[in-house]
Amino acid sequence: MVKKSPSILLHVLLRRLWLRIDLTWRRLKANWLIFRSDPLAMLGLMIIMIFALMAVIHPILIETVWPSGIYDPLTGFDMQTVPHPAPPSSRHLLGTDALGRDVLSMLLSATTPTFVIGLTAALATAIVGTLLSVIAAYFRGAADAAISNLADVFLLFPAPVIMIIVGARFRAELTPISLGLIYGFVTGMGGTVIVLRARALQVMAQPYMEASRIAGGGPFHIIIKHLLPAMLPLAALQMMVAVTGVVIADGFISFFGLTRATSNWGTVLYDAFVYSYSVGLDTATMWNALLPAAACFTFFALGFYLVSRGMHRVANPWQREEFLSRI
Amino acid sequence: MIRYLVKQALLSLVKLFVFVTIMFFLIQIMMPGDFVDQFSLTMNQRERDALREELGLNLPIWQRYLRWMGQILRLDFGESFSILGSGGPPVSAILKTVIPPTLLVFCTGTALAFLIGLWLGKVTAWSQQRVVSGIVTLGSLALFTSFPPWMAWLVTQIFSRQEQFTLVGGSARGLANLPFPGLDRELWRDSPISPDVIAFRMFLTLLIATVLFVAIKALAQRYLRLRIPGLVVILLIAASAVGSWYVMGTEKMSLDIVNSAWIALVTYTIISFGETMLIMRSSMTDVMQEEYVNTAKAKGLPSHIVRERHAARNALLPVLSRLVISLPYLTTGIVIVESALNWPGIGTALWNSLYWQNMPVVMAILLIVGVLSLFARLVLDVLAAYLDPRIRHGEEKPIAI
Repeated sequence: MVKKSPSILLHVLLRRLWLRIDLTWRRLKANWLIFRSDPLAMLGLMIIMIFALMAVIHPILIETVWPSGIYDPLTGFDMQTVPHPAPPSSRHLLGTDALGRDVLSMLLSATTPTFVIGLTAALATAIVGTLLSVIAAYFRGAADAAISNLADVFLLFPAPVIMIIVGARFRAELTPISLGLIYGFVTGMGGTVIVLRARALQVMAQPYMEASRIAGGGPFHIIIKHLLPAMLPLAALQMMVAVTGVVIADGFISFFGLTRATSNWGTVLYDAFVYSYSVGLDTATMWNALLPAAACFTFFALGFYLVSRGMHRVANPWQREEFLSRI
Repeated sequence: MIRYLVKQALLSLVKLFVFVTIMFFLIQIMMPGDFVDQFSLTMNQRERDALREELGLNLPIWQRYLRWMGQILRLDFGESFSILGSGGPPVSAILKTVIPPTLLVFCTGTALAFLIGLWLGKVTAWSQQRVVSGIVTLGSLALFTSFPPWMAWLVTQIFSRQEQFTLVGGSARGLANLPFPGLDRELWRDSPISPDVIAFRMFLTLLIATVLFVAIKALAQRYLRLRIPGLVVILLIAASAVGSWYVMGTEKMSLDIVNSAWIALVTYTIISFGETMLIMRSSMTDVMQEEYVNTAKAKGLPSHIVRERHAARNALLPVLSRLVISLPYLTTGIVIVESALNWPGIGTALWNSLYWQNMPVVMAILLIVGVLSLFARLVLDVLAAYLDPRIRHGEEKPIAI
């Protein structure tokens, strides 16, 4: 028996590591090729990147160009521009709202919380949904019955209504993270489990699962090595869908006036509606408060939805094979 | 099949029970204060305590729960809270007035959105013109992801019906009995029938006509080998529904209700058809790769026949089971659209009574929503089993993503 010297061991380890990195890189590259071939998905990615830029640029602008007395998203007021709401001008690119705040600044500052809430909800949905569906599909029997019936119950819960109920109690203390967690758990236990479980059952029926079991793989090994990797693309898809849902739901409860502490696209819309409801609709409100905020909602949700459609192609093994064979 | 149905129905009852229980505790523990607290300006402490005692709000929550559950098991929804104590209008009377408007608008809207979505998804997936289908997809997506109150506002602006739009947060009114927006007062002043009864009749005739003509279509196809186009069936349904108003002699009132309802109908349809379209589109794209579609094309069948009979029929199955998942989101949509448009249905009533913490009404509405969702789910299950022989043989349902 040959005695391995430490240097050879190190060499083997490095070699393995390199192989692993190379494989991951190739898979990522193939995924990216598939994703890139869909113009709509690329459009979605571009929209998301623009929003990310918006989130980054706001603190920089406040620090450098915009004096915070005038441009603060919550308390800013411009004495020189009268009357408020003012139409777009060079000082205020999107005009001001009825309280004299700069609309562009409000929209930009609302981008970061929106990303946070979206990300939290997406992660919560994916983690809860994947965990439960993997357990249900691997162990079947009583666990499966319990989980899928529980999912049916959770499917009945209207997530925004629950967010309103919780929001009524906590009001100001309610951070985007906790709202995202609520939404993520409700949808993650409900619809996501049902979709992911269906896929997990398909994966479990594959011959390589049987092979792995015969080769002596325990539950932990099979789930980590074989089941989870096959589920991840679909879980990512569900994350994107959750972002779309939570953004609309969050805007909805801000629109109810329940999370007024933070500025938010829903709040911008709500204020504009209040103004136009009491004063009547003029072009200034129409342009500077209603349209941009509503457009932000639509485009943010649209961006994530488009990316999720692109991921659908990446996640679908059938289409994937077909595509890779063509190029 | 019958055994399966009975089993599912019993399971649904259990699910409903769990859902209602969780909601009961969630709302009462989470919402600050209770129904009586909002009168703190007009009543003193003693009066409020007396009111609490009369309404049973001084009991611990589990006793309230048992009392309420006992009532529900006797199929008695109880009486809604009122400032005078428990003498409020019975909840069942409120339900009777708020359910028909919702059924009328949202069943019709869902059916319309479903049809439009299926058709668009089918056509855009099949079409070779990438640019056109891309634009159509993008457009429907933008409508689907738009912010619902804003879309409601936009629709009222476009059709200059500003008076129908209300601010959700600002307009929560006392109880559920809102008037229909924009009705002709002269017409209804000395009418013996109230608008919700007419709305219910309209919904019933529409439902009967739909079932009738869809059955006729299916039978004609099966026994006479006669294909009736879908558009003709839809026109026949609409015509017979309108005709039935004249037969019942309520045509003026029905038209007035249509005049009031179509804004909500249009808004809801616009917001919701995008989802069906996307699911159908991706399902159709998957099916189009299948060998039997190639075979059908190679046989020389015309393109539209391959699309309708070979591709679309199979693409429909995963869409149906996917719709089951998005069905409960209907509740959310109903609450948002109805309260933004002041439509006097379940959603507005739920929001208003939640705002006032009028628990008997809130719980009754949640119960009804749960029953409707689970019932629709059961119907979709049966439909899927009818359409797909694989499910009848115990395989798992395919779900479109």
